[in-house]
Amino acid sequence: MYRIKRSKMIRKGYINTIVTAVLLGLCVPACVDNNEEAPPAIQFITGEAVTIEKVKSLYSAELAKPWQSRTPVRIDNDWTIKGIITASDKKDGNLYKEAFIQDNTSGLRLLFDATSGLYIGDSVVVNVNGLYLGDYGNFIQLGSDPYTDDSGNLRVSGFNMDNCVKKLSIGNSAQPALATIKQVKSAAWLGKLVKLENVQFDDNETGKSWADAIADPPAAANRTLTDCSGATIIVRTSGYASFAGALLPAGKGTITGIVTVFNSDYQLLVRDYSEVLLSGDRCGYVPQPLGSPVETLSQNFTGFANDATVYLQGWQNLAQIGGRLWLAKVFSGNTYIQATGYNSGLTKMVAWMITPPVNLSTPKVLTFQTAKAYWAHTGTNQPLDVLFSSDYNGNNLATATWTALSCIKAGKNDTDHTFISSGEVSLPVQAGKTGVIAFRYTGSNAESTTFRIDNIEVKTK
Amino acid sequence: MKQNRLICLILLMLLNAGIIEAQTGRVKGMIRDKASGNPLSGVIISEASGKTLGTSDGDGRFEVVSASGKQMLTFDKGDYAQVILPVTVVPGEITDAGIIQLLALTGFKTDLGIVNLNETYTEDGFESQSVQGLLSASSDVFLSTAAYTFGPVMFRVRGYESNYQNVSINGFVVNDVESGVPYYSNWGGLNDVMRNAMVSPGPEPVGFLFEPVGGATRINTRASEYRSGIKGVFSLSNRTYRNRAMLTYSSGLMENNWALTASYSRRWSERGYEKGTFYDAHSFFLSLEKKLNAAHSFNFTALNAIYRRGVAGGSTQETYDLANDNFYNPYWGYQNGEVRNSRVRSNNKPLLTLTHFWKPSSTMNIQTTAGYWFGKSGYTALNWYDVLDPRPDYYRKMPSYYSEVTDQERIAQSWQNNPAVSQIDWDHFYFANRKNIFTVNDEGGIQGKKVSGNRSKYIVEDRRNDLSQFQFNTRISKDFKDFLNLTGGVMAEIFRGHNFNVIDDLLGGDYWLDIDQFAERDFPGNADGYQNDLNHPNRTVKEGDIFGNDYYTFQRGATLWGTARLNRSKYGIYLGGHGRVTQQWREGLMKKGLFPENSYGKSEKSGHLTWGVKAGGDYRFSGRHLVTANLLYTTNPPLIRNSFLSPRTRNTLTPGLQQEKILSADLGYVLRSPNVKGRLTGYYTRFSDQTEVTSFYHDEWRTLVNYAMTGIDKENYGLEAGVEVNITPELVINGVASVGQYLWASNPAITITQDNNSAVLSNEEVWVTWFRQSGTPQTALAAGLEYNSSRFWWIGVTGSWYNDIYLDFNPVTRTKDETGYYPYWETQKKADPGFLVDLFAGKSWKINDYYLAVSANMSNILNNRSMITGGFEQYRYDPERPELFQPKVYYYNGFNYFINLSLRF
Repeated sequence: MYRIKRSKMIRKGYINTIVTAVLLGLCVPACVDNNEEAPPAIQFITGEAVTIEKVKSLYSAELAKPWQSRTPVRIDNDWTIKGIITASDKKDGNLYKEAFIQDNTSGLRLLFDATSGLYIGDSVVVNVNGLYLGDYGNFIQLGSDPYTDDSGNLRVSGFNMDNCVKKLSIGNSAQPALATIKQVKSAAWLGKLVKLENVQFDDNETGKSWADAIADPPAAANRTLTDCSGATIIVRTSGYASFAGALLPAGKGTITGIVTVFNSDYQLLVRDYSEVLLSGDRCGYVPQPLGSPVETLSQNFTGFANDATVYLQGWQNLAQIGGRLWLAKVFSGNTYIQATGYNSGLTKMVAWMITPPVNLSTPKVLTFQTAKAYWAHTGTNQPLDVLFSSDYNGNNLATATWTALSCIKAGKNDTDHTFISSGEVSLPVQAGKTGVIAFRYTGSNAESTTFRIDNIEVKTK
Repeated sequence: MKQNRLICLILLMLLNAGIIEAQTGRVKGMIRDKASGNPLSGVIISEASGKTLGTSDGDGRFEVVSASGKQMLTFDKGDYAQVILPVTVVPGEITDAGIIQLLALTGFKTDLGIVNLNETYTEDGFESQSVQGLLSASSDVFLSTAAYTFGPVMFRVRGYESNYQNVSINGFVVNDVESGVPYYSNWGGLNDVMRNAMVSPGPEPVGFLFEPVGGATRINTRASEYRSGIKGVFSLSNRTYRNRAMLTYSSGLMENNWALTASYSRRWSERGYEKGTFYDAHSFFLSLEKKLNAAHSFNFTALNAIYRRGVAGGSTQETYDLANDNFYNPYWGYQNGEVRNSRVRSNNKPLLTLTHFWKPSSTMNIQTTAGYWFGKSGYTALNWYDVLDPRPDYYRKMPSYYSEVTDQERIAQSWQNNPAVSQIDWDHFYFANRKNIFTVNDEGGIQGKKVSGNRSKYIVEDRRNDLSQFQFNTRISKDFKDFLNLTGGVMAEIFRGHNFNVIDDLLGGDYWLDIDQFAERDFPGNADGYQNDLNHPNRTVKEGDIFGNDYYTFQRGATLWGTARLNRSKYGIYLGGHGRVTQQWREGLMKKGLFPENSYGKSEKSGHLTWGVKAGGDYRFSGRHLVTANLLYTTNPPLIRNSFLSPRTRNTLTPGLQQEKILSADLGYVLRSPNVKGRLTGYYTRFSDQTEVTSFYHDEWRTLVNYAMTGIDKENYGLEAGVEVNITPELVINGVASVGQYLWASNPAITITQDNNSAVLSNEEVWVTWFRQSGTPQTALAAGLEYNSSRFWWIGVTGSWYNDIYLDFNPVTRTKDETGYYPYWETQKKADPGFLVDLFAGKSWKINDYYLAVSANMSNILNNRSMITGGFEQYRYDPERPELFQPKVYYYNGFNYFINLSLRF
């Protein structure tokens, strides 16, 4: 009974107390919060507008010193540069934590403490007050507080992009200037975006990738670019670039990038892989139309200079893989042709020497001589195949039907440098048809056997 | 051998049971509150074995049947100190024990706030507060010291992880399904209504489910069982919060056979112990009971703890030294001159239970519960794009990143003099976000659609872990004669977890672009590959939008369990067993660019059939001397969080996933006399075939990496002892010791995968056998002195000492490399021992019907600020410069207090 009475009393008297207390509790949150209210806007400070050239000139005195005695230069002027972003790490991965800005006077590398967040075509202003100019291998860059790196060199560190850069607009055109290799190899072009026309990777670079993407960590690489007059510039590519593992294009054409320098070597830095357009015919390309059908052939290659590429009217000398062709060789007054993988650096090399078409209406006999040197093919691999095709039209190397001709070739155990006769090789008789004979060399840097051919003759039986 | 002997002993006892028929008598008496003299209802009367004989009625009276002879009866009630009374029971007669007075503990220990509120010592950021020991505060001096003295130092009883204990509220299991851990925070602040609990520190039965190796806590919130009246509590502290107010009202069972109990609490603080740790919590509780008749009663309970709180993170010693503060918190920074925390935990998960109590006869009761638990919890974090890691203790911002002294000094200078460097620079985030103009093409995968505006570079994201869970269980308990009890039941659950990221704050920007920036860096040319969701490529997201990852976890399970308890005058025995089926799967809600084939939609289902058996009991040489023993073997399904290799990105099940096996045995001696109470227990547990999946950023590979360890074996063995001596009825001294070895007992197999491609990077072995488990002192000693005056005041002091605290190790450096070597292997790191002194005092008054109590608990009064309670080695590792990634450690708070004022009427 006692408890029941009490309960009634509680219900009447105390519920108000509870309600009040709960309401009090609910009011309290106003004084506890995480201060999430947005702060007022802070204005970006634009100082005096100056040219990039003027900013870079602050470092001229340092650059004139030997590199060991240079120190980064702090910019204490309230200066602002304005320009277009011409290259950035937000495209194709060839740059990292950096971007290039360019105005009418010059271009400059901006070094950041993180990926840039800037894109090609952004129009930006950079307040350079408090930043530092330094260099890496004579190439000027803009960064932040200097520090000593693991090798003991004083470097500028990357700066916080958001602190110093403001985007004015995006999607602007960032078109390169047209120039030649010879022109861009000068201080005036450093940091600028350039487009080189009629250039190709050097013959020695054929078959290589842009950089070493497989290494751990991936490694950057230098590749030599040349124009048809022989002027060269290094193309430097990061191992982290999206195209680092791709093979260098074999053709000639245009390439766009930023001009940089490392010590005394001028370099080109590709900013956008889609601007590499090297698919045209290479310098010195000789058109090789397949000749008109002939009844007989007799070729001893006399007249070519030593090491000359063998181009003969009506014949074809083709580099199917690796870029190496059949070359002429002169020894003791005798001229012959030679193919080799030696010192090529190639994982595979295939070179074809194809005769003009021979009329097959009447029986024909083929004879030639071969010699080998420094046999390096392994197992049953053969350096030379002698092939025949009656449906090759001069352009369908890969799709034409090729059949092997049975003949005697210099073998592994034959004496080096000694020509061996092929014996008489009968060609098939096909009324109204013609056929070509192809000498195909297959090798590599490892399977580098040198192979020679001379005195190719086709006679009527 | 020991186990064999134990089994023989148990069998002998079982045989004896049928032969000897004990004689019984009755004991009656009256129980009163020592201070007020009011009769106390609901006091549990049990015999020395722990078997419950009965409870006191509304008038404080009791009458129970007990074995004859000299018996030790214990009287227990939440909020009150336990009383042990020697009684001589005459067969067939009623012995009057007279008036038994219980001393209320209000304001002493039971009203203490959260004990364990440190963050976990891992990098994964999942919710980590555990319930360790908190609810097991009991009359056992060892367990009570473990909870209140050792608990704040992250002590784990027997070194068991908290997922090896089962916590249920009205039969609804509140262990988090994904992690297995019962999070105290889910009912934090409801202290006054969560005390009616049956607690078992180990496999001993509490009569619900198969009590796991770490014990079970069975909380009961039946409205009629609360003391009627109102209780208000106000607390002041400098721990996790500054203020706490709690108000509880209970009607008792009213004449209309309804009972109502309601509780509300508010905990709040501008900052807790560390800077930046604001606290803002409201907890609600309502329990309503309708008693239909003597046999049937229904009880409905609803509870929820809604909170938001700023978290403090651990850092490296270098950072602490730089900040000249071992309690430096890297998570906050100034925004507009005010403190803002980047890591905010929030919770809003109501739990509803409806229970039917049915007592068909005096020897049988059936309890059936259906419950639904749902809601959301979140943990915010910064995310960023195209900027340097904005966290102030990022290794590149530390002096140690530089090799030259002048550089180190320059960095230290700016770090120490500029809060924008040493803390998070919120103002800069807004500055950067507000001017980052950007255009997204083909937005949302719609050709030609362009979205322009300021693209946020810094955001606050909320990593959500929501749940929806239904549970049903029924348990039947039947007494046969007065010495045999059979209890058993079934339990089934349907669970769906929803894990996703949501934009919490764009920090001044207009949108965030939802792409995978790690994949973008690795595959810059592959626009599909770096999409987070191919169903919505290039999507711009705004505040409240889901992004990054989004998936469900599903679990369905059913358990059948039973326990038999036999209780004779000289001994008690129990046997228990369970069988369970569990099915788990994942459903991806995003089609990840890197895993278009197996990220979207449902995964295959992972099914497990698990079971376990256990036996144990006690033998009483006399009422004062007992030996106890427990033996357990069980298998457990893997936790859903470890069942998937990379649940954020794909449906792949962890290769080599196995069921966990646990074998455990313990043997104890218990002394129970009116003046000396004590216990000494030795234990051995082996966990086999555990699985652990962790993810972290791998520095060398520049990507997120998943480490799946399988075949983990662990061993925990040691001794625990506690003794409590009443020198006078008012003066008590106690001593407690826990000395254990918690070890890794195998070299787990490891499968390493990247989050940005599907290749298995490595299938190796981690050499960690005999490494120590981390996160708990493996040696803990305490001694204390308490004075409980009969004039209602008390004072006590406890000194405690801790050793063998090991840091969690980094598996990367202990993993065999391709060449078969362990080039970076090193021994595990260990923290120094620590000594702490705690002081507590209080007084209570009774003024008319008002009962007032004030108490103060002062921890670490010597202000020891250099005791490391744990930490972890960072997973990032640089073999050239290991100093860059020092372990992150946590310190025990310096002097801290908890003052409590309570009023009850």
